[in-house]
Amino acid sequence: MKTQSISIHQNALKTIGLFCLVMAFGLFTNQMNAQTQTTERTVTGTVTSTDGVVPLATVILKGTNIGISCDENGKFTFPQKLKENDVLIITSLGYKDREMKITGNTTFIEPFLDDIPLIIVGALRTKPSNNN
Amino acid sequence: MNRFILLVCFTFIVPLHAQRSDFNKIDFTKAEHIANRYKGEDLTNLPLLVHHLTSQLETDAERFKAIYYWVSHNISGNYDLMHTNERTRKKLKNDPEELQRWNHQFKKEVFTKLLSDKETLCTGYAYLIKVLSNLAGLECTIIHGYDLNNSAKSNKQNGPNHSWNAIKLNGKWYLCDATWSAGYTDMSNFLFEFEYDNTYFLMKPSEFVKTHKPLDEKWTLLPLSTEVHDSKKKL
Repeated sequence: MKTQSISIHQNALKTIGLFCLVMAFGLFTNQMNAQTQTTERTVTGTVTSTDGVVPLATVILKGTNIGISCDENGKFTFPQKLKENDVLIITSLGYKDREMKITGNTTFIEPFLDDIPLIIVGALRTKPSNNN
Repeated sequence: MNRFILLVCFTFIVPLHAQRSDFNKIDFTKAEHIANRYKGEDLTNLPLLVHHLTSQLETDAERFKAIYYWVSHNISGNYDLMHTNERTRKKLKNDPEELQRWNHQFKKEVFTKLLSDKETLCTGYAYLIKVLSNLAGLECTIIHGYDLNNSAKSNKQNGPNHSWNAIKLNGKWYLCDATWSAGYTDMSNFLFEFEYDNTYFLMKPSEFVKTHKPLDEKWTLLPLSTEVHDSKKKL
C-alpha cells in the first residue's frame, strides 16, 4: 500500500515537472516572439552640425525612395518602421552626406553633418542673351 | 617614332573635342521635356528629384542635360546676395580670419536661401549642379575663377568672382555655366529674368575661355593647360 502511494506521488511529481517544463518553454518562446516584434521600431531624430540644428535636411532609407524632410528645428520621425542594420542617409545642402546604421534597439538618432569647405563667390549675367 | 607622334596628337585632340557637338546624335528633347514636367519641384528631397529627372533617360549626356536644364529653369539669380558678397569680400580682403568667419556665416545664408526660395548666386548654381550630378552617378566638379565679361569685377586683387562646372561624360571633361544659362539680372530694377541660353551647356573650351578664366589653368581644358603639359612630359 505504501509502495503504491509512493508511485502515485512520483507520477504526480513527474506530471507537474513536465507541466512546468512545457510552461517554461512556452514562456521562453513568447519571449522570443516579443523580441522579434521589437526589432521593428519607429525612429526619430534631430539633425545637427557645428552651428546647432540643421533645418530642412532630408533623411532617406538607403536603397529606397522612402524619406522625409526635417522640420525647421532639424527634427524628424521616419515614416516607416525600421529594423536593425537599416541605413539612413542624411543630406542637406551645404553639408557632407552622412550614413547612419540602425543598431540594437535604436529609436532616436542625432546625425552630425560636417560642413563642406566652400568659398562663396558670385557673378550673375547682367545682359539679355544674343544667342537665342 | 610613329607611335610617339600618334600619342602626342591624341593628347592634343582629346581636349579639343570636348564640346557639345560630341553629342550631336543625341536628341535632348526628352531630357528637356522631363525637366519641364518637374518644374517647380522643391529642393528638400534631392535624391528623389534626381530620380525623377534621370531614371527614364538612357545616356549620361541626357541625364546631365535634364539636371542642367532643370536647374537653369528653376533657380533664380539673387542680386542682393551677389552684391553683399562682393562688397564684403572687398572690405575684408586684408583680414583673412574675419573673412573666413564671414564666409562661414554667409555660406549658411546662401544655402538657406537656395533651399527655401530657390534663389542663389553662381557658387550656389555650381554647387547644386555638382550635388545633383553626383547623385545621378556622374563625376562633376566646381571650378572657381574669373568672369572676364566684366573687367572691373575681374580684378585679381579681389580674388575669384565666379564659379562654374566641369562634368565628365563618356570619360571626357566638359565645361558649362548654369548661372549664365539660367538668365540675367535686369540692372534697371535688379530683378532676375529667366532666359535660358544653351550656349553655355558643354561649350567649346576655346570659346568658354574667352569669358571664363579658371584659377587652375588645367580647367580651361585647352591643349596648353598644365594637365596636357604633364601628359607630354610623361610621354
